[in-house]
Amino acid sequence: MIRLDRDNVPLLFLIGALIPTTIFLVIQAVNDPALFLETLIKALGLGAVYALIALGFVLIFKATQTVNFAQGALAAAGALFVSFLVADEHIPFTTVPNPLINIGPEWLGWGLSVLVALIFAALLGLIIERITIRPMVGEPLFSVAVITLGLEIVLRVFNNDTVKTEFRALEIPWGNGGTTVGGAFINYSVIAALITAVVAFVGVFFFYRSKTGIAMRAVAFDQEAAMAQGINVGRVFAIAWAAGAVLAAIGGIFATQPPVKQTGAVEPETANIAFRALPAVILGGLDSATGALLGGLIVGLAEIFAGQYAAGESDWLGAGYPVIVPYIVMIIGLLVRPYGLFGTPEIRRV
Amino acid sequence: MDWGSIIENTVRGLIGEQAIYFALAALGLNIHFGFTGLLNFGQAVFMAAGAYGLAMTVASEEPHDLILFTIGDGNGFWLGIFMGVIVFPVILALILGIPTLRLRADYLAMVTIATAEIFRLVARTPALDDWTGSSDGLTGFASTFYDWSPFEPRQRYFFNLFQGNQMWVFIIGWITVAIVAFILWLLIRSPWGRVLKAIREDEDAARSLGKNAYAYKMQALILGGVVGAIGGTLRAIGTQSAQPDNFITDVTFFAWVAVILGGAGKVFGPIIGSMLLWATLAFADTFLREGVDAGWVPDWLITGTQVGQVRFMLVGLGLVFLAWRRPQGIFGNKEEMALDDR
Repeated sequence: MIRLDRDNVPLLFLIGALIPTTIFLVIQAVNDPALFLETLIKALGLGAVYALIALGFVLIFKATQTVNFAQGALAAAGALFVSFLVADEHIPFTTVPNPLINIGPEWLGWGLSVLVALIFAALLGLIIERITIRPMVGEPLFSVAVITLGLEIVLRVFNNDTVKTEFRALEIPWGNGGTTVGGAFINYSVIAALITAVVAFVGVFFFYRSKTGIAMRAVAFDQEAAMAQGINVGRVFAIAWAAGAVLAAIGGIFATQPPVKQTGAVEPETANIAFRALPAVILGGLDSATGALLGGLIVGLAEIFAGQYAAGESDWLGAGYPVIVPYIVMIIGLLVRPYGLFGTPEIRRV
Repeated sequence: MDWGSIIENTVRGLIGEQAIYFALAALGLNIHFGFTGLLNFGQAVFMAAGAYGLAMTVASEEPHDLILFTIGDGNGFWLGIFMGVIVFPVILALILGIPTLRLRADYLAMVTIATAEIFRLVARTPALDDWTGSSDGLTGFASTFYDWSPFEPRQRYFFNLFQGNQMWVFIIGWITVAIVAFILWLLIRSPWGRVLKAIREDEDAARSLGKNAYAYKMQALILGGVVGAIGGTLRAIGTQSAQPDNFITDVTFFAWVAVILGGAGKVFGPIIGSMLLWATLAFADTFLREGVDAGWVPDWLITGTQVGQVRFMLVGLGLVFLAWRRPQGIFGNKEEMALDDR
């Protein structure tokens, strides 16, 4: 039974707003099922991209208690590695030609190159962790946050200088193509993003139950106690950063594709995907993988559906306003459940 | 190597307009972080609020006619200053603070950095062209300010460092910094300032003594935001434009560098920090450029066009080093900054 006290007011407002929204959407779905299906798939695709970025963020935060502001720059850097391998056809930072690109059919060579790019991304994460995060264990929160902000700038300078003004293509085999199901156009990239997200989350689910994963959860719970039990905390940190960087890179690749972008190429704006995914992280809870998935999907749904169905009702805001929808969802989420849908409640203080 | 131009540029960085804008941004951030312990990673959006508050009131298409109709042409600039310095940042601080100030510190950090980016995206939206000028931004709102200038625009002043208009911004800017710093100095010494420090040190203790920590933190967020917005307004006047890309994450980062360089928790620290930051940047820029021209820096390492980027990278690395070795800043006091993670 929900009692009306100060804490419940935002929740009641939320329920009050959700009921008419649902009715409106049901009417729309009956009127034009094809458009509704198309919007839904697109929204799930965007949600999957947000969820991938959010998952990397959550992994790093859970293991190392670090708010990683460099996630976006890592995403752009990961996409850039792919571009080096498949567009320039050489190994990053060298002039050695990429031998993988000619193996088998086009998609196989491309896929293998992407795997190599992800290995490079993991190495980047490891290097960053070893040089800048490891020495900061036990230092104040803000120093580490400022350091990741500094990293973001260093990486972004490198990215932008490499990209310059021309976009760097990723030569994704399926491009902007798609298929039509029941009158609804579905991009292949959306399907790919959804499959990748499912694989990533199943992977994390099993990883948390492996020996290393249990060690990581122990470190997240109590670093000192974990250390006293003989858990190698440094190794846990390294794994978390490598995994976070890989997830960021995957998110960065999808950030160049529909529904996020149509260009299929790395550009300076690619790094923004992490800032757009922050609402998903906060909504789901900073330290919960399930939260990252659900938060990403909710934010993706809200953004795409608002863009599709509410745009006509708000002429004065115009076409660009779905960008702020995740932010509004985040604020409402913070008011209703400050520690996120699945986060640890201790985060609430007052 | 032209040492004359290196010294001239460094001095210009030390006391120039950029140092003024970021001194104000850092003064505001110091209230948030240094005195109250709030992790604001979106000081750029407070500066943007100041710049756009002025620019949208005076120069944008949409609200312009309405405002002129109501208050008359000559007062638009003052109304713009009021909107930029008070109304916009206060509303922004309330939006940011109400959901997050009851939570752990990292929530404010994430909400502010996300807000700063989202504000930039919204301001760039072509659909809002009539309000924000989209990615071109707004111009032509500062002429009233320069009409009062006693200096000849074409002449150079102060050891040939500044042109007339810059000189006028320079003088008004440093006067503003001095007034703001003096007011903050008084506030921090007042009982109100001591409560802020108590909250920074131990929020639970402050609350058990009957202080409403949430309200005090909100007041600190608003005050720091207003000071940052003054910096943003001045910056918009100085550059005569309010553009979304002037308020990227780097702006927040520079404000943090200024706070940490000067020492958090010291009233005058951020001013020194900002001056040092821009002097260093100007020195690195000119020095590297001269080095590239003279052939001392090999071409494969840095080319002339990359210098502007590389100096930012150097500042990033410098701050990483500083936050690692000396988090209380160069002039800061370690006892003053015994922050624990909250």
